Amino acid sequence: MNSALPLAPILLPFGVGLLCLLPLRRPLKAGLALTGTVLMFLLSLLLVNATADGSVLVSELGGWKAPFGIVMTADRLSAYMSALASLSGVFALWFMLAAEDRVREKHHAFALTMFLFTGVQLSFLTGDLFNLFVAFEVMLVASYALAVLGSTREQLREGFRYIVMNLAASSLLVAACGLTYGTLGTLNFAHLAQRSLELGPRTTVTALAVLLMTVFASKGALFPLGFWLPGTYPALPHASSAFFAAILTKVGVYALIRVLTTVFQADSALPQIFLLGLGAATMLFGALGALSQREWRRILSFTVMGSVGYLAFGVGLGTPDALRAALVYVAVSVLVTLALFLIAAVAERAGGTPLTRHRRGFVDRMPLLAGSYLLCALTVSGLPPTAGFVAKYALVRAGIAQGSPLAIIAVVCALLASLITLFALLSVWRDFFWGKADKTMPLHPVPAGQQTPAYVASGLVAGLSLFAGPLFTHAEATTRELRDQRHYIRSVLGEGPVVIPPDPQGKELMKDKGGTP
Amino acid sequence: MNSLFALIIGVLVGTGVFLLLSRSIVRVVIGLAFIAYGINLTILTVAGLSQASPPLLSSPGPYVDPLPQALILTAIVIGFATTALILTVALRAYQVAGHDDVEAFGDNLARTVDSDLERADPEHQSPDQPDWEDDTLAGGRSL
Repeated sequence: MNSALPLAPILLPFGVGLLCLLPLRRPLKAGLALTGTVLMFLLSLLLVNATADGSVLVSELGGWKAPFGIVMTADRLSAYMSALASLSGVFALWFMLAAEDRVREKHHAFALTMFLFTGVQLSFLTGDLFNLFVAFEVMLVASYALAVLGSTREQLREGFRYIVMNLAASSLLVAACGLTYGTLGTLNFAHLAQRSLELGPRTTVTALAVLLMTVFASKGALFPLGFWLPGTYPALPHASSAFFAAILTKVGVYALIRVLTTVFQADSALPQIFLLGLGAATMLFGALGALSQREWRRILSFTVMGSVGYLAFGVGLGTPDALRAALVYVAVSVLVTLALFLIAAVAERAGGTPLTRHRRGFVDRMPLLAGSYLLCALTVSGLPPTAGFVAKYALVRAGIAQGSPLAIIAVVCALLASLITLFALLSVWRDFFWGKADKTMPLHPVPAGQQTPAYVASGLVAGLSLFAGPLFTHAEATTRELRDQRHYIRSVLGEGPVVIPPDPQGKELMKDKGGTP
Repeated sequence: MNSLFALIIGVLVGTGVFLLLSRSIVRVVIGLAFIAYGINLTILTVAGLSQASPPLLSSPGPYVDPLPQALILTAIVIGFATTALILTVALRAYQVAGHDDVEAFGDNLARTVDSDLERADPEHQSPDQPDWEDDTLAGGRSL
């Protein structure tokens, strides 16, 4: 179905970002950015609504038909991810407005954030492999700039590592695009899907799928390729790190799901086995890493890695049940990461140090913060009353149902990792919140405006467990749609077969010009 | 011609990876540029090499497929931008750290560094931790 709607959440933050580059006063800029982000969220909700009946929205750029021009497509998965990204964007911007940082704002922190949103939305909504690379670059260039903006020593050190790692991964993505074009002769997702469907399982196409999986695994910070993540995120300012942690790794996971289910479905067995193994290793690495750290956001960064491991586990199992559980876990992970990073921002300011140790008794001083933290910690480690339990239970059940030896090992890793994560997060609770408050330790007052986003985000995490039912229904429908490649191909390419026009011989042109070259 | 290109790509990417693994920031940047050149040639090669056919519609055909050229152009433009950005970061890191040795950046997770306090460029010191420098001010003036 043709519609301009998939373009809207991309162009809106881009336009607002350009406006934010103008030398305006802060309240004006802030109002502009907030309005833009909230509108972007509403547009994403419209997208979710428009794709809820299973239709795939297609925007053709410049009026060029699908396999030849660049198209933006929005199906259930894209709209879902777009809405989650916009929601995190709203919270990140809210905190950014509440915690004024004039040094960075003078250097266009608002504009860069809006460009980051643009890149994220573009990568969720594009229907073309090379355009996905461009979207990644838009997103990453904005994130590089945000990562080093302010240029503290720590930021430069970690930012440099982050940039070099991602540039190398991007080169690999370009190479994968080139090889895909050389092998299958197209870059459009739907057309790629059609051709690989016609070819059936092929070793060359499987090799391409493995190559793409490697690239997206490094974007999504899976175990050996994600070494940059736990260092980079704590170096960032709080608002940026909340958005980075909640969304940027999920972009890699989205690309994995898209490529392994919609595009190269017939060739996805081998990359899925790799993913399952990497996922199992990442879960354990994330959990043990969280246990090894003593600072708020370092602990949380490792739990972010762990959650990507669970997602890779879900995608790697390859069964519809597992994919459904993974899709639910995406929502849980995005919201809980967002809430935890916002809580960490408040806690770091209130305690006056990023360390979790040597501060006691915050449960008396800030009971609401303690409650929110406990809820989020239980959600991350997946204990019963929370949505994290529902999603992890579904994942583990899907793993046992799949039943291959590797899947069973991964299930054991998942359970073990949950236990270790719980221990790591509870030791934060014990060090920071529990105990009798030390009256000699000063409590730095944190304005209510900076605390509210954390509480509202925690409220959303609590709400997730109430709305787990509808979430599962939606994930179920998404999974069905993802497994039905023909529906996607038909929606994007139309009913008729794609006719590649013959090579032009230049005769038509010569006629127009009267025969003179 | 394909084998020649394969050889050139191999040499370029190999050189790039070798440079990427070195400790000097500038060599890392040059290494990334080498890899990018190798990748661009890869796209050109896998899409099919042919000497007789330009991708130009204004001269008589046959033509070569223009899409890989468009892809390479896009990749080059993005490569320029990212190279400029990483050079800026490298320069800033040099000003702040006082040397362009990646290893001396230290491992942040271990937090052992702070011995290299001498700055290369005292004119451009970094506002280390601008988040906290005016904490009381920012705290008092929230929305």
